[in-house]
Amino acid sequence: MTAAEITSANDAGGPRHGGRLRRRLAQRVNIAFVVPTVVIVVVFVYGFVSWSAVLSFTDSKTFPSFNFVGFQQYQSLWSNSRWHASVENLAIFTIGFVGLSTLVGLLLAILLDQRIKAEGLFRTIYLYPLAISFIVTGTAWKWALNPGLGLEKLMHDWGFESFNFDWIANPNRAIYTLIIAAVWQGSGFAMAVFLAALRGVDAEIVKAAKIDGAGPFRTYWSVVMPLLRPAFLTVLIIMVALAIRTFDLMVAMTGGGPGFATDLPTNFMYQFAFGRQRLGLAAASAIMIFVTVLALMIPFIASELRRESRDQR
Amino acid sequence: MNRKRNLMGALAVMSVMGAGTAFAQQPTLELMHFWTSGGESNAMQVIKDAVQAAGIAWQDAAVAGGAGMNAYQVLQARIAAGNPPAGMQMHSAQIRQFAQEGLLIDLDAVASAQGWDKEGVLDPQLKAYAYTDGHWVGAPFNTHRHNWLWINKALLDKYGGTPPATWEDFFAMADKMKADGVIPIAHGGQAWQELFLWEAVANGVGGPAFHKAAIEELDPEALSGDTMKQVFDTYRKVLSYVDPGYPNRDWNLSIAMVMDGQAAMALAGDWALGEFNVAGKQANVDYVCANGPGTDGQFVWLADYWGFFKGLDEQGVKAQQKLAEITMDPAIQEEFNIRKGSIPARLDVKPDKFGFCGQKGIADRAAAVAAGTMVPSLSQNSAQTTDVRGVFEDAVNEFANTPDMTADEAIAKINQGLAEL
Repeated sequence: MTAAEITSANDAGGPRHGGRLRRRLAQRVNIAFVVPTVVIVVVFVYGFVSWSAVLSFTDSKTFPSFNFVGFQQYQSLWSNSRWHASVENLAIFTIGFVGLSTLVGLLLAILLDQRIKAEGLFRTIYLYPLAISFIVTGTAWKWALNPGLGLEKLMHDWGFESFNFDWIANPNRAIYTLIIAAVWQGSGFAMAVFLAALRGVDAEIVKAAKIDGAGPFRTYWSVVMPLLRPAFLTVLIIMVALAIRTFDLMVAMTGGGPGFATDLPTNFMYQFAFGRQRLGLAAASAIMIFVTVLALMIPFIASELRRESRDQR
Repeated sequence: MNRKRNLMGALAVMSVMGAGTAFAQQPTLELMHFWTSGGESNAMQVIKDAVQAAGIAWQDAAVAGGAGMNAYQVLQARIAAGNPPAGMQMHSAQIRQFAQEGLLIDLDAVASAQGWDKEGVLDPQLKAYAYTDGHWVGAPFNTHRHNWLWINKALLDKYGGTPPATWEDFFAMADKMKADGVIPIAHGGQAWQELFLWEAVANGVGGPAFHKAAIEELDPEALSGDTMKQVFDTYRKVLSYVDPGYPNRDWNLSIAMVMDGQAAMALAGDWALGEFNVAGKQANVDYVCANGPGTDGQFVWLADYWGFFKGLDEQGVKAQQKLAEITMDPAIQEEFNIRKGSIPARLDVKPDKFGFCGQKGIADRAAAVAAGTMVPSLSQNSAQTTDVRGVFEDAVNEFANTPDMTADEAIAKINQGLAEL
């Protein structure tokens, strides 16, 4: 993607009045710049994806083997209750995390866009969690939410004896604590994207809406929001990808527990590949994650590409 | 002036390079392990010093975390790439597995020179792993005991003074503690700790014969029998005595709770001893080490071994053998294990220098070897390979965290999982 963009940028802004030879040379140079990236991506992304796909059809244990067993690994995968639990958790986590951080991020961005004082300070505060590693976030929230150490104990010490917040220890609620921590960390990013997009909104349009008699809410809902469409798309795609590959946050915060209440497919894959000598099953789970991501992303990307080509015409 | 400085610089570089080549002539062993905590690396230093004194360079390739899983991930990738380290710290199941894959060098020459085979040097169960398919493939460092119950001394005195001998006694004592607002048992709800606790219950309820049939031999009758149901029901009851903060608590925090008197008891292997020692606590003064409920006479064990990978030149193989020799040296085993909190893998090391709990461990092991009541640990990879262990771990964890799951359902989960392997 990046390389292609660079090429097209060069084509557009490159030397136009040079000779044919010079243009051809420039083209060659462009290709030379693109080739290494293409090779690296083909080998290390698509090559390894195919390798995993091949392994998922074998009975590989500790090391890869080429004894093909058809869809047997997929069968045991989908009859494994731990896998079901982790897929369900991922669905809850992705919806909660992406939805909430988009909402919170947008709200923060709109508030910051009101020409307030010390905007830089607030922006930094909201964006700071993003600079922290997920391991640190996870550990800090693990302590803060532990009923015997953190928030609940603090409230009890302050005299609110009836305060009860033991979600992290409750198998039915633990997944939401993961969402809380992830939103805390991720909404700053959404805010930054939305803020940039808001700054890009033409002030004339907003003024025109005001003259037409639209209140602030109506202005944002009917005029500004539609203009933020590309920003929404960016946030959504990046956040969904982030949610699906969540691993370190969960490992540090809950370790997948209690039980499998916060287990995610990434952890399932890691455990079975490296802790259980079941490489074939782990490969099958990796392919399932991959296929899911494809199924979610292809419609998005396709519609975006269609819009782009329509805009060009 | 400037030129002179350049010359000095060049000389310095050359001398460093010279040192480098001199260094390279020394055999180097790249050793992978996951002993990175304070007490663990302090113990490893004993072997490291002896290796360096023997003129072998020690290249440390420690990978921390995940109870060794992270290290195995690196190892697996390096073996697949054809570039394994010279040696790796392994549990029983792994030493056998890698030996059967044909990846390990044999240590027969060292073993016969040092007499590993002699009566009274190694426990036959442990030897069955170190000596796989007719060759010595592992050099054992240590033996850890699984079935310990650690009790806060002051609280024990307050609630009767004698450690609970059975799970029934345990529940009676725990009820009184719970009524007074004392946490009876400090436990961490991590997957491996749940399996550990479950196995401790299984050993106490079923004894060595049941453990052998159900867990080591996976006998279908034992797996689905009444004892197994009783194990799950007792385990459910034990879990009712933990505090609300138990999910994802690290094991060392549980031990700290016992030290502070916040909790009365904890079930943990003798790795807990390292924590008590670091905190300066005294056995029988601050804490008591007792046999796990219902496991008098049993010694549930796990061991660590060096496995050495093929692929080094002649000089390298000699260095590997030298390390095996050093590891099995009685004096090294004594010092290493005092620091680590475990006991020597060798049965013939004198217990005098060990602390109270170490001496008790050595004596109990001698008795168990004589009586045939040594029990290999499932949760620490001595009884089964990791895929079988994983089936138990998943079923036990689902059971522990699903309050309305019955023993029968958990047993069905185990059987279904085993059938799929």
